[in-house]
Amino acid sequence: MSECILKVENLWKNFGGLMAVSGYSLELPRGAIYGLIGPNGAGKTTVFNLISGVLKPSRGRIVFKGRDITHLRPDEITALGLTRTFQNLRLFPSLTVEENLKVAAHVHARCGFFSTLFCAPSFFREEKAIERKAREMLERFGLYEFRKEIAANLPYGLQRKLDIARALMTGPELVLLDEPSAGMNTKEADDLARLVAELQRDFHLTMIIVEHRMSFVMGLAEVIQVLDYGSVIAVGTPEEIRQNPKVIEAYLGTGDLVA
Amino acid sequence: MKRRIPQELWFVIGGLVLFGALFVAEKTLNRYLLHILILMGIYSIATVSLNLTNGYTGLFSLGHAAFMAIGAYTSTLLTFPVPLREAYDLPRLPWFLGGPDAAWSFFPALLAGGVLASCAALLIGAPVLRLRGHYLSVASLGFMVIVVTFAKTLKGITRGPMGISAIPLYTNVYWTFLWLFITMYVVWRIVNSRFGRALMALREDETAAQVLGIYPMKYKLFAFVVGAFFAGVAGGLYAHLTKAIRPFEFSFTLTFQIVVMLIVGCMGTMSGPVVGAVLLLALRYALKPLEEHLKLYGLIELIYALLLIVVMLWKPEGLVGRKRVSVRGHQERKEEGEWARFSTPR
Repeated sequence: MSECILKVENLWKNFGGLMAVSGYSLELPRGAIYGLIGPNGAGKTTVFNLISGVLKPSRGRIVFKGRDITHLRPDEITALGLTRTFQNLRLFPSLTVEENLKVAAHVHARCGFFSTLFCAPSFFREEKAIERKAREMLERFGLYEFRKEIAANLPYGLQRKLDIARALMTGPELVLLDEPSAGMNTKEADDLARLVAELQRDFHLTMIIVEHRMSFVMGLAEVIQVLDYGSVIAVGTPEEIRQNPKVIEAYLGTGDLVA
Repeated sequence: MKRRIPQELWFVIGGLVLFGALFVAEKTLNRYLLHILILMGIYSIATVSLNLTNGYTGLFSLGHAAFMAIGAYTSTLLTFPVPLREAYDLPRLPWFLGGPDAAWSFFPALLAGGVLASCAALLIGAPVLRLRGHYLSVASLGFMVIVVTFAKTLKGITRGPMGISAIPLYTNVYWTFLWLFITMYVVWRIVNSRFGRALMALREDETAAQVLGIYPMKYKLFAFVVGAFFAGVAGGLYAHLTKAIRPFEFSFTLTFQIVVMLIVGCMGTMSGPVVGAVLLLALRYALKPLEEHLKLYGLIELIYALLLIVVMLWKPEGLVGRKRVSVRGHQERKEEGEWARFSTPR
C-alpha cells in the first residue's frame, strides 16, 4: 500500500437545514484515480468544494500530505499542490487561451513588485519560464493554434481541455476533476479519457473524478465511491459498483414507486 | 518575448515624442489652452489610475475623488507659504513634518499626498473590498462622502467649506505629463506581469482565480492602493494648478466625471482612459462658450450624462474598445452550479 496523500475524516456540511454532505470519509493513496459518482444533488460537487477550500465544512477534518488543510484558504491549498477543475467551466472568458494558462502559473512566481516595475533580469527570466511552461501545456493539449483566441470563443470541448490544462499549470500533485466529460460526445469523451490517463502517468498525478458518464469513470478509476444524500453508500472497484443493488436503487429507485 | 522588446521601445519613443510636443506646446500655446492641456493631463492620471481598479480588477469604485481630495489637501498644507499661514488661518507644520517655519517643496509634497491617499486606501480597502459589485460601489461612494465631510468640518486644518486659496502655482505641463508618463508606465508594467494577470483573473472569475492560487484580498488591495496613490498625486497637481480648493469640488461631480471618462474611453485598456479624459475635456471647453452664451449652466454635465447613456447603449466596450473587457461581467456567474444542483428535483 502506497502512502496516503489525502485523508478526509467524517466530513459534514449543511446549508441551513439542508444536509449536503454527511459523514464523508476518504483515504486516497498517492498515484491513484478514484471516482465519485451519485445521482444529481448527491453532494459530489460539495465534497470537491470542501476539499479545495471553496466551502468550509461544518464538521470534519481534511489532511493533505500529512498537513491539516481544513481551515486553509483555496489559494493556500493550491500552493500545497491540490487543485481542481469546475463542472460549470470557470474559465476567464475575455482573456486569451495563453493568458488563462499564465494566470495559473502565479503560485510559483516569486518576482516581486519592484523587480516587475523596473524590468529586473529576474522578471524576464521568470516570464520566459512561464511562457515556456504555458507553451508546453498548449502543445500537449492541442491548443497551441488557439493560443491567441479569447477563451470564450473556443469550442466547448476545447474549453474543457483548457480548464484541465490550466489546473495542471499550478503544478499539482492531486487534481479534482469535476465532470470533465460533461457536454462532450462519445468520441470526444473517449479521447479525453485517454488524455487523462496519459496525464496521470506523465505528471505523476493523483486524481478524484466526479462523473456522470459511467463509461468514462469506470474505465479510468480503480476505486469508485457512490454518494447519495450526502453520504457514501458504496465503495468498490468499478465491477463491484456495477452490481451493487444499493447503487442501482439510488439511480433507478425501488420497485414500489407510486406513479 | 520577441514582441515585448518593440513594446518597450515604443514606450521610450512615445515618451520622447510627448516631451518634444510639450516643449513646442509650452512655447506656442496661450495660457488658456495650456491650462486646458494641463487639466487633460491631470484628469488622465486620475482616469488611468481608476482604470486599475475599475477596468482591470473589476472593482467598480466610486471613491476616487476622495483620494484626490486627500492628495490635494495634503500637498497644499505641506507647501503653503509660511508667511501667509497666519492670514489664512492655516496651522503651521508640526515638528515631525519640518517644524513651524518649514514649507515643503512641490515634489515631496506630491509624493506625501499620494502616500497618504494610499494609506487611506489600505485602511478603507480592508473592509470595503470584502463587498462585491454594487455593494462595493456604494460603500466606496460612502467613503467619498466621509472624506468630503471631514474636509468641511475639520476647520482648524482645512478651513472648512470655504476652502483654501492662494495655493502656490507649481503645476506646469512638464510636471503633469511626467506624472502621467509615470502612471502609465506603472500601470503598463503591472498589466504585463503576473500582477496584472492576477487582477484580470479576479475580474473574470474570483472563485476560479482563488482555486488557481491567487489570494483575492491581497491583489484587490494592491490595485486599490496603487490606484489611490496616483489619484492623490493627481489631486495635488490639481490644487497647485487651480490655486484654490474647496471640499465640494471633490464630490459627486468629480467622481462622475472621471467614471464617465473611463467608460467612454474604454475600461481595461492602456489608451482608453486617456482618450476618454482628453475627449471629454475637449468637449467641455468647446461647449463652454455656448453654455455661457445661452446661459444654460449645467449643459455640459447634461451632455456628459447623455454621452454616457449613448456609449453604454451602442458601444458598451468604450470608444477604443475591442476585446479584453467582457461586458457580461463576472457577477452573474457566481455559485449557480452549487445551488442549481440542490434545487433540481430528484
